[in-house]
Amino acid sequence: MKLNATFISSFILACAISTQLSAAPAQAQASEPTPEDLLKDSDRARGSAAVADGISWEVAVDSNDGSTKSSVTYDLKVKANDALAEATAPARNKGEMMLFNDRNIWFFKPGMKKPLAISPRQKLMGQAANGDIASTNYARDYEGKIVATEKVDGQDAWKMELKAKAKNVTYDQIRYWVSKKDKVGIKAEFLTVSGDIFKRASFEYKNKIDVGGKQTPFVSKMTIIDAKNEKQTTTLNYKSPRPAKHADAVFNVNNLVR
Amino acid sequence: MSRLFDKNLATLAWRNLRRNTRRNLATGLAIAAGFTAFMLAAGYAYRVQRVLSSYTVYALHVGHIGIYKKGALEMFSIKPKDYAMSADDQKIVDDVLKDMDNIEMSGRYLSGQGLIGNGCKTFPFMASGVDLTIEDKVMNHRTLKRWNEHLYKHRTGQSLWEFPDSFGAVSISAGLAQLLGKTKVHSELGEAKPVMITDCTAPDARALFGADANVQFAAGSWDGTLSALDGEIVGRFTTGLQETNNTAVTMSLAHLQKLLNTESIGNMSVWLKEPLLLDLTITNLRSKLQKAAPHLEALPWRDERLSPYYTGTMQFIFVMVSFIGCVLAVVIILSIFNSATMTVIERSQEVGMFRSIGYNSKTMRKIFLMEGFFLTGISLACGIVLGLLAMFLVNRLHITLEPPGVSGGIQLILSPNALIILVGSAIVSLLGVGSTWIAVTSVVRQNIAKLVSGAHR
Amino acid sequence: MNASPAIIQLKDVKKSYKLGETDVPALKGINIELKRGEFTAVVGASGSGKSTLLNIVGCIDDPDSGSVLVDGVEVTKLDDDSKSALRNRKIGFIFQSFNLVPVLNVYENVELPLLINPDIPRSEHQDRVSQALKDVAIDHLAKNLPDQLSGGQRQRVAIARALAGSPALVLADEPTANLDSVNSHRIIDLMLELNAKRGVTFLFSTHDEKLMARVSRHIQIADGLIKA
Repeated sequence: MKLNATFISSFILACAISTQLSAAPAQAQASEPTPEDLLKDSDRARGSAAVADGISWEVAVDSNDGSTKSSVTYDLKVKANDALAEATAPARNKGEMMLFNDRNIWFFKPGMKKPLAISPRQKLMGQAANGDIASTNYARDYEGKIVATEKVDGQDAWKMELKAKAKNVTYDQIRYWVSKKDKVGIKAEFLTVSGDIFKRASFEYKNKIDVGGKQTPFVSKMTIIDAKNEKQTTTLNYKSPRPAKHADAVFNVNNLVR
Repeated sequence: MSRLFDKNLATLAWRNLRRNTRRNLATGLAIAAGFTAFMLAAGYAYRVQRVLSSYTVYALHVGHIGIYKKGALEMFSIKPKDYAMSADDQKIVDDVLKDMDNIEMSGRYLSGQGLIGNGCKTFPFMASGVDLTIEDKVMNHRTLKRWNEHLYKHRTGQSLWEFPDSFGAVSISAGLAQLLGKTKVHSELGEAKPVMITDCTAPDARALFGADANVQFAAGSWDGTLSALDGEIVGRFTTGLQETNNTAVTMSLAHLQKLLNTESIGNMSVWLKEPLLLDLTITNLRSKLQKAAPHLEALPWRDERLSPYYTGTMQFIFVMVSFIGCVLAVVIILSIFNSATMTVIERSQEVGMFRSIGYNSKTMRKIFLMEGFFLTGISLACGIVLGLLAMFLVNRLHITLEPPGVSGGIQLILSPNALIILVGSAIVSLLGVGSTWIAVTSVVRQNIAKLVSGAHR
Repeated sequence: MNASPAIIQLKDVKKSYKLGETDVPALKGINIELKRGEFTAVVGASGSGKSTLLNIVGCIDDPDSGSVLVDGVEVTKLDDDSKSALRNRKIGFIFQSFNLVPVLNVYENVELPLLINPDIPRSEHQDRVSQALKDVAIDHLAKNLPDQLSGGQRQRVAIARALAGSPALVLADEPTANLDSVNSHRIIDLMLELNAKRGVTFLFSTHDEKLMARVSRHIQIADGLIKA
């Protein structure tokens, strides 16, 4: 009986929390959020600063250029503005690391004498740029504005236009659709400086991550398609997002060469 | 009889040149100066042609003939895997070449691009993976040495073929070395261990870049992933062109294949014993390839796609020299025409006298043509001497040019070429004789009585 | 060589010149016959047609109509090359203004007609030139250039040049017009002497009455017609 009472009280609490959680977007809908807030919220669901001590997840990058398929799996460690992606499979790529210090990216392969600074714009694999693999920090990197409200796959979404704040970010311009319901990015178009679309992306959020005891949506799949050749696709499948404590040393470039 | 007669006519024509010294001198000077200008322009064009052709064929490893998978020139950079030459392709080409004459050597080549880093900064690079088995022969070829002496002067360090593939030896262009802060090459640093730079923003970071000859390369491998490996700078060179001097890297074919994760190559280059027989050899090679490997094609080095800088530059220079040639032709035609017209009008009574005593119009024309020929010939001889002297002086003055697109400037060297001078002289002589012919023909056919009386004037 | 005693036969030769839109008749139907060895002067006022007559006889101008026979050959029917050859072999010319080539010396000037005469071998050139120079008494000036000579000497060179090829006929258009009277008489004397010595037919034009007196036959021409 006591157990039942505990169960019931837990259930009520859970319902209350879930009610609160589901009420939150409703309140947001009532008053228009600022573009910055919207980007911060959507960034969180893509791994950015979700948890202060850090988080981890796995991502499998599957690329298909129409004739060749390849796949590499990375283990991600993220803390604040730093991230470390370490390839775990296949064997040939195992141990390759990409370290994200703020907007700087370092690439390292076992056996190399020094790490190599690489550009977030450079293609990592297929259509995925280096900058796509780690956490997304659009709020930091882009100046955004809400330009319209549109339906994307039946969902109401804010259409945003993002412009790069700095040169060394992954893209110059992005059109970004953020779901009104969950405040997560559900669709993106990546544009060149001249405004031509060169890649399209869609996002799914079937993962959940525990943030302060709350289960919040976390990206589960990002599909990137070449705008000129739709056969060229790259899919990033995200797994096991979890809070994790990462020491700062993990993100020190000098520790890559061991 | 005829020879005697011609000799006398020639004597007369020769002596006639003294009759209006001032006019003939002015005409002669115009021709001589024009031809000197032509020789300077042609000397420059010839020099550039030789330098660029040998640079393209040898230093850029284009070879006299390039063998590619059909479509590779357009598509290799986009789909390298689909347009590369497999090991089987290479074997077929080897077998075909083995049975052919006029083949000096052949080599395997691959190109790729990516980022090169010094531990702190990275820059884009364009790499050539070269066949080390013949690299020594290619880079020390007598033709390259003869016309591109400056390349050797700007080389620092050792050559790639002095190191085993496993060493990861690379040569980088001078501009790229400067960007990376790699001031010294392997041989200058000895066995220095790679220096880790803990703070890339520290004031001493730049000094540390040059403390080792170690660099890292990253590139998208052909299997679609990001690849990287180390390299040791053993040499530094200049490409001579700004466009490539900040990006060019040469490494062994095996090293680049490792970076790009492939066993294929981009193309095979073939060098000929006798380059003048290129057309014949390539026709033969094409027919053999058509049977053995129709998906491969053989292209001459002059193909715009293989040597865009050469063809572009030479087209420009051809236009320039043609323009100077046209101006010279106009100067010669007008000078000689004017001189011959004046002369024949002045001497119309004398023409009448000659005609009266039995000289026919053809003979009269012959005398004037000989005069025109002698005048042009003497002027040309003076022009050639002046031209050679001017070339010698220009070469001695060590004038440095900084043409657009060329890094570091190049010394202006003019090279005389006997064939160009000979052909140029023949054309000028023809123009001279032709102009005279037009000027005198109507006069020598005039009514003799009118000529004698001076009524023609 | 034609056996006919007449070296020149002109029958009804007419010639007119265009002066603007109008035709100006120079010869209005001339009939002349010159025998071999004759020494004849064509006399008449300026513009009477003397030079035109000599030009037609010398085959350096064509008549509009009529017949011209030189040594029995109808020259009006010859092409340019044949007329050139005929002039070279049969006719010698002496011009009023001498027309010597200034860059050739006396010897070379005299040799000029021989150079294109296939009937005279090279080996004979020197003898013929020397003889011609001796005949006109300037053999000592053989190496001189024309501008080193006086007017009379130059005309002697011209006469030697006319004679070097041993022509049957020598035509002289106002040969003394550019000479003083002393030299004029000397030249006429010389021509008479050569006519007598070599038997060469001379036909020359002049309007100098003093000279006319020394010539056996006169052809008087006025307004394009021969006066009886």
